[in-house]
Amino acid sequence: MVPITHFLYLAILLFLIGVGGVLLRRNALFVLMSIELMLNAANVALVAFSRLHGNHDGQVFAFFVIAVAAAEAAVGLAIIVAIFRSRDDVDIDDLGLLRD
Amino acid sequence: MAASYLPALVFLAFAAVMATVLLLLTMVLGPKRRTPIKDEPFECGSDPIGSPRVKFGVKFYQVAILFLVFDIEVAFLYPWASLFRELSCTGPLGPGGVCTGAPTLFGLAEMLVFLGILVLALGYVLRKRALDWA
Amino acid sequence: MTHAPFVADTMASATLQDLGHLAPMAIVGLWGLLLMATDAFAAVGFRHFQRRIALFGLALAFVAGLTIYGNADYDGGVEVFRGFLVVDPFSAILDLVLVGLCAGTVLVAGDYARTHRFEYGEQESLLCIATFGAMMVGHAHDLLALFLGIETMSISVYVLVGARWNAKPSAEAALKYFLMGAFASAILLMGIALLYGATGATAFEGIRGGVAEAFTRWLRINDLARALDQGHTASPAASDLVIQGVAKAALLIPGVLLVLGALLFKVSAVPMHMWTPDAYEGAPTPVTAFMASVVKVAGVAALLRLFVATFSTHRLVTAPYGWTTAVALVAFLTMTVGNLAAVRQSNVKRLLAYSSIAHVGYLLLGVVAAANFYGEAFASDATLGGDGLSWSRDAGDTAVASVLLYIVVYAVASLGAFVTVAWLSGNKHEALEAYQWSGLARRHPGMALGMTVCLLSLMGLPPMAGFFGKLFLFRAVFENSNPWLQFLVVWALLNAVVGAYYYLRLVVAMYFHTPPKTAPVVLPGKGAPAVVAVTAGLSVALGVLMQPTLDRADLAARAFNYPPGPSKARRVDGLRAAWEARDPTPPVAAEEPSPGT
Repeated sequence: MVPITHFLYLAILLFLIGVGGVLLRRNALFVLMSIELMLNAANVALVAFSRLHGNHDGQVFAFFVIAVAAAEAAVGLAIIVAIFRSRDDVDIDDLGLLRD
Repeated sequence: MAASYLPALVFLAFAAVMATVLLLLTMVLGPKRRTPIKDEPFECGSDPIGSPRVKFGVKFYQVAILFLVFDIEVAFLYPWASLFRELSCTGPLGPGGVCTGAPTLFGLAEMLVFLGILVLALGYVLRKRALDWA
Repeated sequence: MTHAPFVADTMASATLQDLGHLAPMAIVGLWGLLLMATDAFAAVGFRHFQRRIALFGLALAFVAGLTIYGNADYDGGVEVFRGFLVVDPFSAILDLVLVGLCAGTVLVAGDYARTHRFEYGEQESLLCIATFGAMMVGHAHDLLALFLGIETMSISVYVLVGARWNAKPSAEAALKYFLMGAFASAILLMGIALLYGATGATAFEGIRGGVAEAFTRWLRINDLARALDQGHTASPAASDLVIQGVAKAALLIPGVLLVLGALLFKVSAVPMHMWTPDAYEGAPTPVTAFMASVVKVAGVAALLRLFVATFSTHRLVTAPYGWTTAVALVAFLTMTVGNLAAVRQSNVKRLLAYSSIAHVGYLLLGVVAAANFYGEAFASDATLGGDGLSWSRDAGDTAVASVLLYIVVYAVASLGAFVTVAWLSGNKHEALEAYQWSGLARRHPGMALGMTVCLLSLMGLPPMAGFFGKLFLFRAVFENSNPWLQFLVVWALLNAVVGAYYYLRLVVAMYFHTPPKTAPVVLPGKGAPAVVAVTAGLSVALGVLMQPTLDRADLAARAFNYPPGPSKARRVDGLRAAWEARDPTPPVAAEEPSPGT
C-alpha cells in the first residue's frame, strides 16, 4: 500500500513545476501547458484523498476537472491561435497594446 | 514500502518492453525501399530545409481543439456505465446485482439527455462548417 | 457525505422536482443551448431574432425567479440534487439580479457588435451560459458546484472578451484574462483538493463539520498506536492515519489560503488586480459591463457562500490561523490602490475599471466583518450550547445583508455606466478619452443624466442607492468591530472622498465643459438608452425603497448561513421558552463546538 504522503509529494511537485512554468516561461503555449499540469496535480491529490477517505467525492470531482480542463484548453488554444495569426509569435512579454 | 510500488514498476517495464518490441519488429519486418525523399531527415512531415516559420493551416488547430473537447466527454460514460444497474431499477439491488424492483428507463434517459446536448454541439460544429477541410 | 441509496424510481421524480426549484437557473441554461441551436440551424434571416429570443427566455427566468423570491417555503433553504445546490432567499435575490444584469447586457451587445462590425450569432448564447454559471455560484452548496459555476462563467467570458476579431486589443485582453484566470482556477482547484483532503467532504455542510473538527479532534491516538505497534510493515497505514488525524489542520490552512487567493483574483482584489484594467479596456464594452456586474456579483457570492458561511469557525477567523486579517489587509490595499490609480486615468473605461477595484475593497471589509461576527457566534455557540442567540450572530447577518445590498447596488450602477460608455461609441473609434465626454449634457441630456445618476450612485451621494449601500455597509462593519476594522472604515470613507473626485470630474466634464465640434456618434437602437434609464431609475429607487430591500437581504443572510435549520425568529422563540422554563442550576458547558448549527 502506497501511503498518502507519497501521492501528496507527487501532487505538490507537479503543482510547483506548473507554477514555475507559469511564472518563468514567456511563451503563451508553455504557460497553458503549465496550467494544465497544475490542474492534473490537483487531480492526483483529489483521487488520492478520495482513496484515503473512502468516499467517491474526490473521484467525481476529478472527472469534472478533466472536462473543464479540456474546455479551458480549447478556448485557450483558440485565443492563442488568434493572437498568433495577428503577430506571428505568442510571447506574453510582447503584449503591450493595453497598459496604463 | 518499496513492494507497494511493484505494480507501478511492472507497468513501466511493460511499457518499455512493448515499445522496444514494436520498434524492433518494424525494423526487422518492414520492407526497406530507399527513395531520395525517404533519406531526408524526418521532421514531423514538414520540410526540413527552409524557414521554420511555416504557417500551418488553422484547420489543424480547429480539428485538434474539437477532438480535445469531444474526446473528454467519454470519461463521463464510465461512471454512468458502472452505475447503470442501479439507475435502471426501481428498487434496491439484491445479491448478485439482481434488480428487486421493476426495470425503468431513468438511467438511459439521463444519458440520452447528456448525449443529446453533445449531439446538439456536434450539429452546431457541422453547421458552422468547422469540419470542412476545403 | 451520506447518500441515500440509489433508487431510480424516486430519483426520476426528484430530478424533475429539483429542476422546478431551480427553474430560473435551468431556464437560463436551457436558453443558452437553445440560442446556440437557433444560431446554427435557423435560416439566416431568422438569426435577426436572437436578441428577442434571449430576452424572452430571460423574462421567463425572471418571472420564475419572482415566484421563488416571494415564496416563504424557501426561507430556510431547500437542498436540491442531493445537497449539490441550495435554493434560499440569498440565491433567489442573486437569481433576479443576475438575470436582470444579463438582460441589460443582451440589450446592448448586439447593437454594439453590429456597429463595430464583428457581429456573431453566439453572443447571446454565451451571455446566457455565463449567467448560468454565475447563478450556479449563487446556488452553490458544494465545492464542485462552486468550481463548475465559476468555470462555466469564466470560460464563456474568455470567449466574449476575445470575440472582437477585427481589433487587436480584444485578442490581447482575452489572452491576458485567460492566462491569469486559468492560473487562478488551477490554484482554486489545488486549494479545493487540500480542503477535501482535510475534511473528507466537498459539500459545504461536510466541510463545516470537518473544519470544526480539524482543530479539536486531532489525534486518534489509539488507532495510531495500534498501527505503529504492528511494526515497520504497517507504517504506510500509520502515515495515512497521521494525515487523517494530526495533519488535518496542516492541509486545511493552505487549502483555505489557496482558495482565498483564487477567489480574490476573481473579484480582482489587489495585488491580484493587474489583469482587470487591461481586460476591461480590451473587451467589447458591453462585455466589460457584463464583467463588472455579473462576474463580480458571482465572485462576491462565492466569497460569501464559502468564506463567510463555511470558513467562519472561531479558529479560522482569529489569529494565528485566521484568514480575516489577511483579507482586511487586502481590502486596505484594494481600495487605496484602486482609487489612486483611477484618479490618474484619462481613459473612461480604465477609470471605471479601477473604480470597480476600489469598490471590491469596500466589499471585502464587509466580508471580513461578517466572518469575524460569525466566528464569535460560533465560539459562543460552543460555550453556551447550540441554540444560543448571540448579538454577534445578528451582527454577522447584518453585515452579510449589507454586503449583498452593496454588491447589488454597485452592479446596477456599474452596468449603467459601462453601457453609457458602449453607447457613446457609435463609429469605429470609441469615445474613451475624457475630453470626448465634454458637454455631452447639451447634446444628449437624457443619457448624460442617466450616466450622472449611475456615477453619483457609485460615488455614494445621499439620495442615490449607493449612499445607502455605503452607509449600511460601513455601519455594519464599524459597530461592534475591533479598532483595526474601525480604522479601516474611516480609511474607506477617506477613499470614498477620493472616489468622489474622479466621478465628479466626469460629471463636470459632461455638464460644464464646451462640447467638441464634431458630435460624438452614438449607437443606434433603443437598447442602450433603455438600459441606462432602468439602471439609473433603480439607482434612485433602491435608495428610496432601502428598508424593504435591506429586510429582504437580511432574510437572505439569515437563511444562507444556517441551512436548513430553524429561522432566527424561531430561535428567539425557543430561547425565550427555554428562559421561562429554565432550570435554576447552571448549564454544563458543551465540550465540542457543534458544527452546522
